[in-house]
Amino acid sequence: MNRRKLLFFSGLILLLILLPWVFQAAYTRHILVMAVIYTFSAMGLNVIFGFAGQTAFGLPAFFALGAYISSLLALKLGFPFGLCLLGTMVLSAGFGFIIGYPCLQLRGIYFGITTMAFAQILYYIVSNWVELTRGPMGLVGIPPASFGLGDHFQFVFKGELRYYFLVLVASLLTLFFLSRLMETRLGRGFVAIRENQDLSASIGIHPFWVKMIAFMLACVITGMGGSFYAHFVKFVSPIEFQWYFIGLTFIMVITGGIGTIWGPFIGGAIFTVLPEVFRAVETYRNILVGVVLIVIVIFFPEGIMGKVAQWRGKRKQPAWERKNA
Amino acid sequence: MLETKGLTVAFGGLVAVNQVDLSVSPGEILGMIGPNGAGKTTFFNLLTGFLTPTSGQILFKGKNIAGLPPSRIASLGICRTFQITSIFPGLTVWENLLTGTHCWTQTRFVDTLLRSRGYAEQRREMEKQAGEILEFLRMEGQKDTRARNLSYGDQRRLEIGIALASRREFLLLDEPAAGMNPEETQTLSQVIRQIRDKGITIFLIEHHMQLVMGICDRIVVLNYGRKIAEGTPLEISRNPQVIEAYLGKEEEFA
Amino acid sequence: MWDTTVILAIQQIASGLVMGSMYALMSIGMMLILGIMTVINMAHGEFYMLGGYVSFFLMTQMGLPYLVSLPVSMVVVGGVGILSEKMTIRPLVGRPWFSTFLTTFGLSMILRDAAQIIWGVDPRELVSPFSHKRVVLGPVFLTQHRIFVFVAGVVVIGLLYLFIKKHKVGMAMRAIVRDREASALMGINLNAMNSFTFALGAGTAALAGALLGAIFNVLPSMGELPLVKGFAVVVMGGMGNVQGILFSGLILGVAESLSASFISLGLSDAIAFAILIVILLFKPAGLFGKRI
Repeated sequence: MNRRKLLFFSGLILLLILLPWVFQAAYTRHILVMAVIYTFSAMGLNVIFGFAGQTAFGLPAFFALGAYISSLLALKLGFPFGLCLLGTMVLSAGFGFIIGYPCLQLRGIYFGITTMAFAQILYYIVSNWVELTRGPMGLVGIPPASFGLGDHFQFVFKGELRYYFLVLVASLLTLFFLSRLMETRLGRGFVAIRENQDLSASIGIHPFWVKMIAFMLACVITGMGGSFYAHFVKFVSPIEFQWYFIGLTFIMVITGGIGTIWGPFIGGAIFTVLPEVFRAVETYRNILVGVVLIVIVIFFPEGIMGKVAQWRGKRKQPAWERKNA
Repeated sequence: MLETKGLTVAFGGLVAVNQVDLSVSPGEILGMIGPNGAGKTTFFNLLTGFLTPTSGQILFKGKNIAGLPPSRIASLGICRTFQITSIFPGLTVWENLLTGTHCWTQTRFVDTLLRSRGYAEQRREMEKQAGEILEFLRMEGQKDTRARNLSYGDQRRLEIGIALASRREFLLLDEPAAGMNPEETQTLSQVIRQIRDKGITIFLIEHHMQLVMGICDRIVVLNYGRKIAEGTPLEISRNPQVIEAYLGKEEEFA
Repeated sequence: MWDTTVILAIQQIASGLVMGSMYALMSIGMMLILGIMTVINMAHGEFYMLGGYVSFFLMTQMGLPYLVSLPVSMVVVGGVGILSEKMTIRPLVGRPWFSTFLTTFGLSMILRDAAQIIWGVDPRELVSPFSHKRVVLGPVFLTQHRIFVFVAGVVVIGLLYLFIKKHKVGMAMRAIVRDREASALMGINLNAMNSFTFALGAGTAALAGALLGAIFNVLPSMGELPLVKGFAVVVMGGMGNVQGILFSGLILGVAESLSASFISLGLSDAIAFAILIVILLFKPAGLFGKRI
């Protein structure tokens, strides 16, 4: 990494760290936390959709699934947060495999719609399995995130400030992991499959399994977000499975810049913050968000990160950070 | 190097490839010709795992590969290009070539994650290989052009470049000269010869007679799924059955 | 004389056919937009919703009778469609499919909010002249209105089918799907066709909304589920296949109805998706379709 890049990223991270002191009200800090939490959903989708090019419409449902899994692990099994998070990641991967297996038999939009179908089915199962999930009433009283060793040392992530740093660190670590991942053989495989699946097969990349890994990874990351969500908001309900959230996640990824590393982070932040900014004009809120969305799509063909890349000129970027232009 | 015995594939009542026996020796350039619909591309699809044969064997270096999935076959040493130009459209020429090196790069996951020395070495090797091919194809000037923005002829060359990058010993080229003008075809001939000189065995399908007659060591002729002739270009051009199969078509003989 | 389960089943089948015809009507519009414009219209549910509201408006504010409000609503919403197309789709020619996916999503947000502002969140009632009259067919009770919906649906779908097959414009549409560039070279005005297709899709969705609005009430969020189901039916029925879509729509409607009463209300919606999954796994191009 050259000097300039290092400086830029340090500055950015510093900015992110300082944000909560710029916005001190609990309400605005709450929004900051939510913005970072939603970036997980966007990052997850970016792995399967942005990098591997598979339009998994149903993927964002794993956010809600992760939230439920984490909550149930805490409420029914009494797991501490760390274990809940881990359990959520493992189970998300498992579900990802189970759902991915049939879906990946199909290609293109059929794959997408099948994942969507599974997402809807999950929604209805969760809404109706009242004994387990309390149905539409949702789960309440989810314990806040905390790390501890035994009974002696318990660090509770109470309050927005602590939680903000928790999720920010987790999110940035995930970003870092993804940026390195995309330079590995596996990551290159994702991109190759996105660009030309048959050709990829001819050079030795196994489409089904590489897509499966991408899908499972996407589920894990999205599920993590859900887990963070559950332990922050401390309430989950089937609403989180709704179609709107799915659309919103796609918005985040695409406007941020599909297939870029920072794209989902930026998109996730913008489209969580924007509706809140417009809350002042409550009745017109969705109209404004809709208009902004349309404008961004029209004027930023490659997403916001795409424009950024353009402004930086044809500078040499690591190959796998680029998106499908 | 490659041998097929009684290779057959049937779709319902239609027998697309019918009991074809042929063999390809290491280091030779074998051409396959035949009228449209004779089953040539289907034959390639069988060889590369995109189709499973109904009966017969495909022996690559002695091992039967019939029915294996394409990625498996690729890792055993066979690489192919497609009738419709197959490149990675959104990536630049350079990235296309790097992707091609995928097959033989074995960097461990952890190495890349931490960007350790093993990673740096492997990366250098990949880039060296990609650089060599770029030079070989004489496309240095287009290194950073998106593949989809290349001219048709350039895309075709890139396609071969990707195949080369994979360092496979056996190359299947499906109509590499399709849609090329005479000048481009000439360049292509040279390129193919140079590839063979590097020790790679080439098996190609073509309609472009001048190309085929010019560079192939031997030619196999397919008609309605059956092999009707085999031999040197000279023998084939004189073979009455072959001439008959082509009567009414517009190809010219050398 | 008749076993009650059987009667219930027949009753549900009948109701299912009614709903199914409307799913099919929505889906045909979506299919046309997808096939001819390569656009996934995320606002289709909102056109459906607007159909109900415009009809409501015409009846309550302009005193038009229900039956007259139907075609007028179609035209009005069709007009909204044309306007929307100019603003959210036209500027994105040549861009990848997800661009219009997003802009139509934005459009759906705008339309939904607008409806909420104008008419509020409370459900509105659409009263059809047929609403309260019952018809008895064998063991089955149906309101006249439901029969009317079914008939109207099938008739309109039939007209669409004939239009696409025989009428000059319909044939132009098929030409575009076959080969867009060649069609342009043959003198087909692509821009006009895009506007027309979008308007047609919006209009038919509006009709479905106005028809069903008299059974269920009219709400700003009423378009949400039909959108998703509409896509499911398009995929099931196969691209370019009007009969396939009609058939799939009807199957879906019936499957939903039957599972609603015999299994559980909550899971009946999920059934649609379970069916879709099963169908796609065995017939990857949909029940009747060829691959897109």
